[in-house]
Amino acid sequence: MIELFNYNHSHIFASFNFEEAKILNDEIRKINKLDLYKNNILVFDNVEEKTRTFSHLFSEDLAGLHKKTNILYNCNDVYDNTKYYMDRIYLNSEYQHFNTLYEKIICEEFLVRYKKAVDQDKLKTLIKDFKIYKEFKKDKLTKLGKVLFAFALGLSCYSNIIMYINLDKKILDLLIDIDILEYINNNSFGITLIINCNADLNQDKLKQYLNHKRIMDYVHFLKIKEVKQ
Amino acid sequence: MKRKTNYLIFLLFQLVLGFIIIIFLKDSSDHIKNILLYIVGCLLPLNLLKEINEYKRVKTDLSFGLAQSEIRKRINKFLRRDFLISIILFLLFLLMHSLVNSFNTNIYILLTSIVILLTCGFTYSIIINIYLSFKLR
Repeated sequence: MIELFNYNHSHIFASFNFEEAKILNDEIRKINKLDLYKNNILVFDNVEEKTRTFSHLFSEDLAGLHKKTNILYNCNDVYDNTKYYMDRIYLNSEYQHFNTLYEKIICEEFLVRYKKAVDQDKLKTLIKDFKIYKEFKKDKLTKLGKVLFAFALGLSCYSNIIMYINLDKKILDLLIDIDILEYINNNSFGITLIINCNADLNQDKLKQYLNHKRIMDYVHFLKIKEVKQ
Repeated sequence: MKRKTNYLIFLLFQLVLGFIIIIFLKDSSDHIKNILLYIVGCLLPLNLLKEINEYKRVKTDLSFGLAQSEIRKRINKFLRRDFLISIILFLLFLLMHSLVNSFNTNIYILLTSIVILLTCGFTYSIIINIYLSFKLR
């Protein structure tokens, strides 16, 4: 059972009790509270291929995309919960949602279709800072471009973010290069990063970067040994 | 605003297309063939299939803040609207057809055509809803 609830009308917490959930691993059970209004990083070690599927599904479960996940928000299921959907945006960094980088169109779309505000100037600055135009060819973003754009969009949006990243060596180097943690910590909304580490990734480098900053509210490295189907 | 303009341009295009078909079939005496051609040729498929982008955007909508029931409601609203416009346009074409062919259509042809339109519309609506239940499961 995972429960998300309002705390002092300003915070959403996720309380985890994985007894009934899919995972049987002790490490996963260590997570017992998650505040979606703060910055959280959950790093899934990709020892086995199934971890990737799990971390991806976990991010989608948390975003309320699947039925019967035992995740609750104000005592109601997060699935098809309009209030919960208004409080968060879910970004999968492997997916391209827009065929344009023109910030005016993106902001208008968010406002008209989703009734959510995006800081247009901030989005423009971040697209420029992250040099996303370099990664945009023939209406398609490259793999790196998708990650950078997800960050740019998430950080400009006046909403809490749940984000899934499939992290490899190249992406990690790039994120360290632009010092993404600095941007995340300067953001006034919470960001929950669900990171899946690829086998080629040097995890020490990631740990070193996260420890060096010492500013994240919650960082957890998780290794899944067994997944109950 | 842009969406509304696009929609009006689309309707205008359909009217012109329908009128071209009517002129083209002016001398044809087979009414059922004519009417089937109006339906299959330009009205229903064009009106309903133009919402295909809505179905493609389900993943994005879910990510950015539209809940499953809202998406379903939104798409069904579009389906109903397009279907209604299809019927109105069809009746308009039928009227034009009658005028061009000196009022020689009869009630039987009109009813048959509406039944065909309704069947097509409902079948399409059912297919889309089955597709949505898979997408939004």
